[in-house]
Formats: sequence, C-alpha cells, structure tokens
Amino acid sequence: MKSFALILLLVTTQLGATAPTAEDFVRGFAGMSALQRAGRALQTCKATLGKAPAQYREDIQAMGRLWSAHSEAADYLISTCNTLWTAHELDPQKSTQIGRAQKIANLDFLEAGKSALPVKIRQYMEAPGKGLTRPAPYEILNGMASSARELDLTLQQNVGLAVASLVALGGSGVVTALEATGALARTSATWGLRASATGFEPAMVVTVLSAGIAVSANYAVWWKREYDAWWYVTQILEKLEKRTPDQPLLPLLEEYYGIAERLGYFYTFSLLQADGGKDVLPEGNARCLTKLDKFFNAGNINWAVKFKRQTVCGDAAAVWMAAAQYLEQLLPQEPMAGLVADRLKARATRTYWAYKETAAFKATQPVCHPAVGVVQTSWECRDPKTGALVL
Amino acid sequence: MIKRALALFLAFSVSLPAFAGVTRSNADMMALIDDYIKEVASTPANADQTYMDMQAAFLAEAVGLQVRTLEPEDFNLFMLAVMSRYINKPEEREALFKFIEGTRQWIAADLANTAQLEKGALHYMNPANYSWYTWVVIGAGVVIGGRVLHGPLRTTRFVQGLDKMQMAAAKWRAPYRIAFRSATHPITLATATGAGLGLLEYQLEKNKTHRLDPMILTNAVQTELACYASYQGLGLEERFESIRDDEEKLKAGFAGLNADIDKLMGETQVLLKQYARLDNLYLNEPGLQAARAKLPQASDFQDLRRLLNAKDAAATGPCAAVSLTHLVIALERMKTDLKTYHDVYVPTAAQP
Repeated sequence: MKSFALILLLVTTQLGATAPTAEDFVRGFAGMSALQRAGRALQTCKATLGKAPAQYREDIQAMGRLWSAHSEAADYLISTCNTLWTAHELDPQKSTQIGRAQKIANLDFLEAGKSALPVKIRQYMEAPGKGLTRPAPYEILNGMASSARELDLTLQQNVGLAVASLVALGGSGVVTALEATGALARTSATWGLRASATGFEPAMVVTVLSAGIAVSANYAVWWKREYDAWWYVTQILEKLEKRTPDQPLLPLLEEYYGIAERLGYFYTFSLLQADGGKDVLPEGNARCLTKLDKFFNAGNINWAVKFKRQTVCGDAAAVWMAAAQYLEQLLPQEPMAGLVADRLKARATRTYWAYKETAAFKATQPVCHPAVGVVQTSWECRDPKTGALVL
Repeated sequence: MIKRALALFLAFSVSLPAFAGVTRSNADMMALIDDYIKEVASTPANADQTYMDMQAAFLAEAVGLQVRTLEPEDFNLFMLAVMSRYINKPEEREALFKFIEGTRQWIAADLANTAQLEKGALHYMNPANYSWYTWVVIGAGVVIGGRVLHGPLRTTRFVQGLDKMQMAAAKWRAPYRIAFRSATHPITLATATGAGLGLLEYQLEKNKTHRLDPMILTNAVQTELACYASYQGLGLEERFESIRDDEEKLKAGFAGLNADIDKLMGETQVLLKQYARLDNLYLNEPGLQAARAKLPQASDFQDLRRLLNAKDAAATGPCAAVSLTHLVIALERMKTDLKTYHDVYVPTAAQP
C-alpha cells in the first residue's frame, strides 16, 4: 500500500502542473528511496531545462548554492541535470557532426560532378550548424566552458580535413583547398569557441596537402595543438585551487576527469583510435615508455608537480597517472576526489599494460605475404624468428 | 585516388568516448534497479492499468537516466548483470524490458555516433585479421597461413569457435580485438547467441569505451530464450509421449505436466509480446531484422527435432527455435491432447 501511495504521489507530481523545486528536492532527499530520488530529480531537471535561458541559469546557480548545506542531495540533482543536458544537447549535436562527416565520406558531393565540386563544398561548409543552445549545468557552476565541447570542434575539423583533401585530390588545386579551409575556419568561429586558439594555419594546409595521400598520417597534428589541450588543464587547476568551501566539488571533479582524459588522448592518438573501436593497437610514446617502466617498477615516483608545470611526458598513461597524483595531493581529504584519482590511476595502469601487450604482440606477429598458388592466391604467414609457417 | 583518400579519412576518424560521470558506481545502480523492480512488481491488482503503465514507463526513464551517468565500462558490466537477471527471473522481464527501453532513449544519440563511425571498418583489416573475422562472423572455413582449415577449426558451433579463440588469444591479440569489436555488429551477435552470455560477457570486457546498445543485447538474449523455450517445449512433448499410452503414468503425471505446459505458454506469450516491441523499435534497422530471420525456425516440434538432429550442425546455426507463434499453437495442441487422454482414462462426471 505504501508503494501504491508513492506511485500515486509520483503520478500526481508528474502529471500535475508543478515539478518539485530544487529546494523541495534537497529537503526531502534524506527520506526518499533510491527510486524516488531518481524520479524527482528527473522531474526537477526536466522543468529546469525547459525554462528560459536566464531563469535556467538562475535555477542552476540556486542548486549550486544549496550545495554547502545539502551536498549529497545537491550533487545528485546537479549531476542528473548535467546528464540530461548532455543527452538533450551535446549528443544530438555530435550525431549531426558525425552525420555530416559521413556524408562527405560517402562521396555525396562527387555526385554533383567534378566541376561543381568546389561550389558544393563551399555551400556545405558555410551552412550554419545547429549550435548548443545553452551552457551545461556544470559549465555554469564551474564558470568555464567544458572541454566536452571541444569534441564537437574536433569533429568539425575532421570534416574540414576530409573536405580539404577531397578538393585537392579532386584536381581543383591548392587554391580551392585554401578556400575550403577558410570556410572551415569561419565555421569553427560560429561555435563560439576560442577561435584564435583553434584557428587553422593555412601554411600547414599547403604542406599537408602537397603530401597528397599522406594527409592522414599527419592527422594528430590537426586534431588540436598542444597548447589548446593544456589550456583546459590550466583553467580547471585554477578553479580547483581557488575553489571556496561552499562551491560544489562534483562538477569540478567531473570536468577535471574529462579534461585529463582528452589530454591523454591528445598525446596517444593510437589509444583514442583503439578505444574508439578502430583496428589499431595502442602504442605509447617511445620516449615516455622508459619513464613509465621506471614508474611502474619503482612505485614511489610522483609526477604531480610535473603535471602542474605541464612538463609531464606526453603520453596517455603518464598524463593520467600524473593527473591522479596531482588531484590526490590537492584534495587529500575529499573521498570523491580520491575516487576520481583512482579511476585515472586504473586507466593509466591499464593503458601501460596495453602498450606492453602491443610490444609483445608485435615482437611475435607472423609476417604475412601473398602466396601465389596454382588455383588461387592465398596468404602465407611465417614466424618472424623461426620462419616456420604459422597457423 | 579520391576514394583512397576518403577511405583513409574513415580509417583515421575516431569514435569519441562518451561523456559521462565518473563518480557513480554499479552498486548504486543495482540498488536502484532493485527498488524499481520492487515498486513496479508491487502494483496492486485493482490499480488502473493505464496509470500504472505510464508510471512504470516514467520510473524506467528516471532510472535509465541515472544509469546513463555510469562510465561506459561500468555501464556495459551493469547491463550484463541486468541481462543475466532478465534470463533468470522471468517474472521481472516485463519491468526490466521497460527499464531497457527507458535507458536506451537516453543513450540513443551516443549509440548512433558509434554505429555511424563503425561503418566501413572492414576495408581496413589486414588479410591475416580478416580470416579471423570471417571465422567469427560467418563461421566459415578459416584461411590462415595459406591454407583453408576445416575440421575442428570450422565453427559448426560457435561455442567451439569461442574456445579456440580463447586458446589463441595470446598469440593473436589484434584479431581478437577485431572479433569482439565486430561482435557489436547485430549480425555477429545473432550468430553468437549459441555461445550465450559467455560471448557477450567477453565482449563487454573488451568494450571499455563504448556503451553497448541495450536493445541489441536484449535481442540476443531474446533469441537465446526463444531457443530455450523451444527446447523446453520439446522436452514437454517427450514427457507427454512417454506417459500418454500408460494410464497409471498419465494419471500420476497429468497435473505436473499440465502446469508446466501452462507455465511455458505464459512465458512464451510474454516473449512474443516483447519480440513485437523489439520489432517496433528496430523498424529502421534491417540488419537486425535480417539477422533474426537467419535464425533457423521450425514450424513444429517434429521439424525442430529434425533441425537439431541434422548432421551438418552448421546448417542450423547456433541454435534452432520453433517460431514463437507456432510454439504457442503447439503447446495449446499438446495441452488439448493431454486433456483428451486424461478424460479417456479419468471420465469426468459430465461425460456419460
């Protein structure tokens, strides 16, 4: 009967006119079951995200103000609202971008005929994309743009790269490629990001395009510049260090994790590809592998200071381990910070062993080549050491 | 040249790891699911069904949003636990199905991203890897080292293939990855159902950064359950045949057999209903529909027996099933026959 009453209550609030406010939520939080918390948080966040921009911002800030007195409840609510924002705003945006990239890859533009190609591409690149309509709750509370937005820009840049190579290789020449790149830079600017930091360098375009097919080999160069990758680290460290006791910690920690994750991927592109599901073996930065070996064997090396000074070795495992150590050092008494640090350490350790596996695999990988037979050509693989046929 | 450049572009394009919270745990979510199941299952019998359905859907959505906050790795492991529960607790399937629907809506765009970027991956496999991919996906003969291997390497049963693959894991690390990444493809999953959750579990372990589609997991599990229900039906028919000509045995076994038929009929009807809902959700995904169409389906128990006894097990694939509609019909017929035999041996008062 108790449960029936609960259902009736939820039905009433769900179907009724008013959703619970943030204050209602945090006050009732202690007495709610896990299910009630999930239901009420969803109602509150749906209502908040549906408000006009100014009121939405005010509501999120009000949630932040509730944190000092009701930290667990406020964390729960803010986190739910941020998840809802991601599902509603960021994910569809990513889908659109990937769809556009896919469209190019599917050679849709070639159907228009070679002569019309540059025009079509220009039209495509200049078409306004649907921007994110409002900041994420975490962005409001942290006072900084989330690095998650960079993912969209990265995709947009990927599209641009494909377009540029398409134009160049399609015989339209470098001049057209530069035009396309210019259009791309304009598109990037419409994202409201730091255009000066993320703008393209035409000279690089020419260099890369002149290499023709090798364009993809230089892909990591294009993804983002090192400075951009660290820019977010600088920002989040400043926010964490200057944080006042009444400021919600969870949004900062979540952002810290995301930034560290992307920084690691920036350095170890093969890991990003492998984690993204591509047929690539993750390989660490050779220069850093010795340091990682030493780290995992000695166990008492601290890279926290190097992380702060941005001098940590440029590799995912190293960066993640250093980020974990820095966080532990900065917030030793915060269990949630410890949790995030543990996650980063686990990822770093797993990545390090993945490098090891890659190296071991490569050392024993059979060497395969076509073997021409009487009836058909097949593949023959031999052990690299013994030369014996491998099954 | 252009195509090659674009192919390379695709090869180097990346799927982006999901943006998710890092501070939530599987244990919290399990507690939430327990709470949810308890709540939905405790609906009073006299409650208004429309309201209750709406409410269950809302709660499923709310729980699904919380589950979305899990990191992809945790999310996948959590979904595995949910699937296990789905298999082992038929009474919870209805509620769990709603929860799965509720969760999927929150990760739909994320799944679309992954699916889009995975297209075309086949073009970039090197031939050594490709043979393994063929092995896993099609179960055909494997070409390795210039030879076409048959016999034990031929995956007449997927479980066998899985064992072999595990044995070869250390040596063939990269093909291993391909095998399991390709297993996220619907067709592969359908092929893989014979290995049951063993494969899914393995796949989940390998998938650290992508959220798997809960609906595709459910589809695989549903297929497995359909096979299992068919085998159960076959077992019931054999029980019936072993007692029907023996008056004493039939009298003794009637009640038990009748109850078991009813139970299986009930479960099959729920399965049938959920299949229809999956079909609705996957109207635009012909790959999944096609994969399911490949599941060998018998029209009755006799046909099923023929499929199961087929010498070339490759022809039957990982498992065979009586189509669920036919299974219900066959069970109803069995129930009627059982009653007829029972009435002959134990004339009721109504009979002259």
